[in-house]
Amino acid sequence: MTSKFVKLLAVALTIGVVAAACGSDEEEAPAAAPATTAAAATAQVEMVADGSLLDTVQARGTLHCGVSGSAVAFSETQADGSVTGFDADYCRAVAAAVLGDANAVKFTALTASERFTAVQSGDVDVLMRNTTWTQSRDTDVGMDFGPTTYYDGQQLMGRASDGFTANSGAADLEGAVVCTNAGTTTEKNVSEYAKLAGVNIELKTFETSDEYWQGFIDGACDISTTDGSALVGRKVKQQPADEEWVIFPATPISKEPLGPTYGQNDSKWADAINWTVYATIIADEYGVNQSNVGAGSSYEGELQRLLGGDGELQTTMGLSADAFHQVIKQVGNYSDIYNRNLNPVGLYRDGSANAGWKDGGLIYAPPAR
Amino acid sequence: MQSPAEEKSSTLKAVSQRVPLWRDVVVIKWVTQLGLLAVVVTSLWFLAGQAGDNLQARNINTGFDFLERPPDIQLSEGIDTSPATGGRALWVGMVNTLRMAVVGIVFATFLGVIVGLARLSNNWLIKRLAGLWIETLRNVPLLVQMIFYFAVLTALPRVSLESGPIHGWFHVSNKGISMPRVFISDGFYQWITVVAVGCIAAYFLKKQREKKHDLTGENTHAASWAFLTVCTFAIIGIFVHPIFSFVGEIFAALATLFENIPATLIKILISSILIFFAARWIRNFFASRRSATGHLSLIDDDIFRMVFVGTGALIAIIVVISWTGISSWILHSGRDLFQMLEAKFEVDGAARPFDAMKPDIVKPGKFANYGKNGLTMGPGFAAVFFGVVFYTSAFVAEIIRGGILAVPKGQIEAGNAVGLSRSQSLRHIVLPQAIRIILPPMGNQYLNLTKNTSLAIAVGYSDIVQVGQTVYNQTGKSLPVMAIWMLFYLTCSLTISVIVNYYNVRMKIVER
Amino acid sequence: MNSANSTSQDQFSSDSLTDVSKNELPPKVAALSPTEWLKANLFSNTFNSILTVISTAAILLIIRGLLSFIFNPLRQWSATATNMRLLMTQAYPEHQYARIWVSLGFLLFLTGISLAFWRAGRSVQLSQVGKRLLALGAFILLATLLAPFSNKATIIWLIIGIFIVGIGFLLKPSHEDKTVSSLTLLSGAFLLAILSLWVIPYGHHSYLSTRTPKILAEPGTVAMTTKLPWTIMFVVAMCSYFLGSFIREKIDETRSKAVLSATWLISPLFLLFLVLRDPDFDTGHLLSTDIPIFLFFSIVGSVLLLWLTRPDIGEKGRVISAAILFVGFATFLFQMLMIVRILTLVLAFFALAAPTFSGQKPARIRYTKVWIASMVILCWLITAINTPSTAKVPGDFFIGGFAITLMIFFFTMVLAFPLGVLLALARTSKFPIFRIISTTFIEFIRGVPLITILIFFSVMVPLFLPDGMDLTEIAAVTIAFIIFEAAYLAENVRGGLQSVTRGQHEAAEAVGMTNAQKTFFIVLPQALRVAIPPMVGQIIATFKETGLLAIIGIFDFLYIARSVIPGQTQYMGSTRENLLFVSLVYLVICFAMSKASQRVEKRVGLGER
Repeated sequence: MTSKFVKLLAVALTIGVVAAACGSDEEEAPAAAPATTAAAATAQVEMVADGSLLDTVQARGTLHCGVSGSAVAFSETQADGSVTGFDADYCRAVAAAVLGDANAVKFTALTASERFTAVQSGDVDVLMRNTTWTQSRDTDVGMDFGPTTYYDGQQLMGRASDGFTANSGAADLEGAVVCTNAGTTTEKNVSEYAKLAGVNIELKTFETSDEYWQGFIDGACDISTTDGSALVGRKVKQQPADEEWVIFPATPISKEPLGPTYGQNDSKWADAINWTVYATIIADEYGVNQSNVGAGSSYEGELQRLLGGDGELQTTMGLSADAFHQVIKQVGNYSDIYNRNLNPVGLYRDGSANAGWKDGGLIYAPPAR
Repeated sequence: MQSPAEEKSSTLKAVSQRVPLWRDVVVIKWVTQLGLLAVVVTSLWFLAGQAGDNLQARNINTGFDFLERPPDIQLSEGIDTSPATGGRALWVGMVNTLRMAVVGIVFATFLGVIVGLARLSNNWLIKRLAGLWIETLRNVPLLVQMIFYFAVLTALPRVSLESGPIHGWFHVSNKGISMPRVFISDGFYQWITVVAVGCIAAYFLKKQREKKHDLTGENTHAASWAFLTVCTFAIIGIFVHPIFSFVGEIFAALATLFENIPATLIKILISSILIFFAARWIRNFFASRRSATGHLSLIDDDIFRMVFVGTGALIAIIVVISWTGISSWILHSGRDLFQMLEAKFEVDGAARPFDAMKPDIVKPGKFANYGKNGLTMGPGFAAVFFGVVFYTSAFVAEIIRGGILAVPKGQIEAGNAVGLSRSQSLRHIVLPQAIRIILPPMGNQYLNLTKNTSLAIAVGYSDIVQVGQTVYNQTGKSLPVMAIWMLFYLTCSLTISVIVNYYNVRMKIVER
Repeated sequence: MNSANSTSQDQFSSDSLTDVSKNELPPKVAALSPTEWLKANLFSNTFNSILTVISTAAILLIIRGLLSFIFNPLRQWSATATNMRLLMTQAYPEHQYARIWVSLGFLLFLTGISLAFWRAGRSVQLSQVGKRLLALGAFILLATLLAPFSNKATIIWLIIGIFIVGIGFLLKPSHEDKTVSSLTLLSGAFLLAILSLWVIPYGHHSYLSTRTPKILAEPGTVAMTTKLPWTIMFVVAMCSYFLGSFIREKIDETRSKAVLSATWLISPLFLLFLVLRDPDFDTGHLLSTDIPIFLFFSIVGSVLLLWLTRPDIGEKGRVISAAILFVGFATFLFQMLMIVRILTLVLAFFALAAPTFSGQKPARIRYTKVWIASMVILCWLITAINTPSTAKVPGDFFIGGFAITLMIFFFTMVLAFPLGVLLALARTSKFPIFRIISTTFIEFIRGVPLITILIFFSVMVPLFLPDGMDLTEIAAVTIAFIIFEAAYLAENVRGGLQSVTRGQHEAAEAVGMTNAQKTFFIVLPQALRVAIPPMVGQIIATFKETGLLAIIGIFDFLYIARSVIPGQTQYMGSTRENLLFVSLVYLVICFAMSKASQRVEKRVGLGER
């Protein structure tokens, strides 16, 4: 008798849980009671097509930010589960600007090959996953790109014992096994590079970067290629004592402007993200950083406008007047973010393309007026 | 299920005392079913519509045009490492998957049988080792195993010119495993024609020997005779195969024929075949439902079946007729096939059917690599290969062991009693019985193996899933690529099921 | 590693085949002398001798290779040790970690009580234990000689090996009748492991986000936050076992076993959504919305069901249930709280099933009780899921790592089972359209690899959802797992259904059961019994398949080991260490499950009928 009771209960329970699992998340949606009649549904779709992601994010209270989650120095998941890194800090900066709280970020870890679909399907609001800005991604894949936060370029790395020097070039690649990440631009670049030089290479691609690095260290890969920043980081950390790794050619084989990426045709959301990035750059130009930033009203001119002393530009954008002040205070300016994350892996701003435009670099922001 | 007679009597009763509609079993049954069907169809419709809206709202293009455009990707392994179109890239992935599946199935069966027999060995150490093999390999997830094998393979020594292949035959390094390659050469197709003729001859010979055996009762070794005949033809074929080059002409004629058939003829042909089959099915169905006296009575399920078959055939015909691409596709591929076969036979007499080469190591630039001579599997292929083979072999071994243990001991003892040798009783008594038990789960293992090759994505072997992911990542066409995946795997699974079922049925007939 | 390897080897000898042969033999077989044994088992003929020599060499090489890999100074084992919390629960906040321990403790408590109630464990002869220890000791000695240890370590390990061999020698000649429960042995091993945490200097690793360098790695025993909770866990497990065996005699055993089973089913939900997730309930909303809805449905539903289960209700009941079902579907056309829609649908299903459970008053009251119980659980669950969590984590989901592997595994099993049974029933049903739909579904799912289904669900599901509805990736992936496993379970259940003889169907029809009653009370129980072994196999397969989460980038056990930890600046290139750890965990769990399933198989008595 009792066992029958239990069986019944089990059946009932499971039906219930299915129903709960299906239904529960619907209620979490900001709209208190979603209308699901066919007519209402189409109406809603149209409404969302007009409305901006900015409103959705602000109503939700958290920013869904797509990162790699396992990219050294750009987005690492630490032993306590926290996410740190250059990209992660820019997620925090956007959250600080849009929501006023740098910690209101939900990081979604994405593999290289699922990142664009995640943006398209609305899983994430913005992608900060060292994504290169390319024509095909901008048009065909259906992405829009924000200002570049990190100017990178693809380089290759070989062993000095194989006869490589910093001046080596494509001609030295004949017969090499070249390893790189699957689903990235590096794949395309290196095969074009080899094709132009008329040499034959064997390209092997891997889902995670650590796999091909393991392959390179063990010698299964003769050459490893990816963005120069990653090469430097790996060299600093992983070069064995009895080997010398060489990064070449001196001029990168490709331009890899990395920056925030978001869905197409939503300029309100695009503005919010773009100006967050610009704000960190402008603050850096004026030397205003996390430790010395004051209230907006204590500054004059451009800084006053930007940091919220006279906040009508920000409020027109749909942000709070002190949005960018919060960014600098909670996350820091461009230099803060850069030095905090990239110096430990041997990457420095001075003399690189990521120096400020006044120092001969490419980091430049339009004026805040 | 009600028999027709019962149904008949109930309809008779219904005349006198009509059952209300809502209590009629047949009505309730069909209302429920149609209700469910409606719910399923509506939800699918709703989901599809929703997806359409969402795709439009997010500007996602779901066309298949990417199959025709250059994908700008390089594959690490396969028949074509820099494919010209997206479709070609996916095709390379499919070939890689199939290659892995076939090779994996062969080796997993082989290894599984050995381990399964070792598990039954009377050597204590071997038995324990086989047990350790089975328990370890089937209890560690395949994915983890693959990644681990990959890590081990890449830790092997580097390849260099000095190290050289082991005695020129076999070489292992972190660039993969290279071994001698036997490959079919230009004369192969003519040679295989000779062998085919040999098979026909062997068939008749076998028939004749079996007849003699039935008449006289003496052991005529029919199977051995047939086998020997095929071998003889194969050996002779190596020398005389050029006489069959005229077969090429036949194929050329067929190709011309395909080129000249109008597409409408194909449409008509397919439609009439469909109509013919549907009609024949319905006629047979009527025949089977007819009682001995010739009286026909149909219950609701029967009517449903006929309607289902009829509608199915009709829909298929409409598709064939309205979709113009399909008939011209059939024509073109038929023509291409025969033209390809024709080309295969256009070979001058000196060509050999087979050739073999030792592995070699070349160093065009700074790097030593395996050359094209040997049969080389790269670390990715090797990791997937060892993964699926080892993992599946553990399951196969258990199936083999179970199958053999399931044959009662008395059977072997009976075999011994009538004086059969150990190998004879194994061959004629144990195996035929064990195979009946072994085959169905083996079929499942083959299916699993084929599907498991999809994990290749984790170690960078260019199978269909990995290539597909790269392609949709470059082009943004995730939905079409996924559709292609599913279609491909469904086809593979269905093919394997059909083959295994065929053997199941055959085994049953042989047995009784 | 050593001990784990040897345990797996040891347990081998208890494998089913040898067990059977052992049981069949008379207990006292003339013991062979070592030379005779060797000759009989290893060198019986030339072929066997060659095999023995070759395989011995292979084993020695493999052990040596493995040991020199593990103890290579280049290995970064501190990567695994420091990231243990990440591997187990990902970002679960440290200050709320007590919740994890409470959950684990509760599960151990349940385990202890259940072990006592089901009288688990079997008696093992002491001489057998002695033999195993001898083998273990010998293995340790062998491994020590092969391993690249320093002199000091070699001596320590040799002493340990000799010590174990010594105990083995002491126990081996003990009398046949002297037995010990396998549970005692298990808890002894557990105790030893816990003690070793306090004594052996495994090294103290921790991650402190507040200082630089953030990694703390110093020699010594493991951190207090690890060893103390584990000691408490051990005490809890022991106490609950004794408590269980104490109260077992006092109360009605059948009833309490039923209660225990139900607790096992419900407690993971309870632990997940109440203890671990810690919903931040809003009293106002509870009082104004959730509780009234609950009260309404349980009272109205009870009255309705009490009436519907009357044996003489006839067609009226069916019409009313159909009407409720219609209303349930119709609710989706209007603005309404989701919970109302769900509860209406559930009520409709209960009403439809009512005639199956109709009968005398006690039966009807029981049915109503089930309704109220499911309302309590459902309402609480839905409310809990819809309330924001207090566990603030940076990621998508409040747990990850091994915990999420277990969670998805649990949900998959619990939900795939009923779905699988339904599919199997539909596939064997007399209704052709049900059959076609079910067969198509099953064959489609079985025809494609899990990874493609997972990729589809993780990437594409948001595209298919109506606007405003949002399914987290974890939920989508869990649904993918559920439908995949359900299709496989359905085939297992179908095998069971086909094994139920025609006579059983006819007998049930003869006593006037309805189709539903026949299915639920006669056919299914028999079919499920037959289907147990293949279903257990499927469960183990499911557990292994959870590793596929790593490919779609969910922070599961394998993904953290393979991608996340090697992506940390400090631990670049530590993939192999972590992978070895992960495969060990999978191996131990799957091996234990497959052993347990062999035991269950024997208990159910299959293969003997």
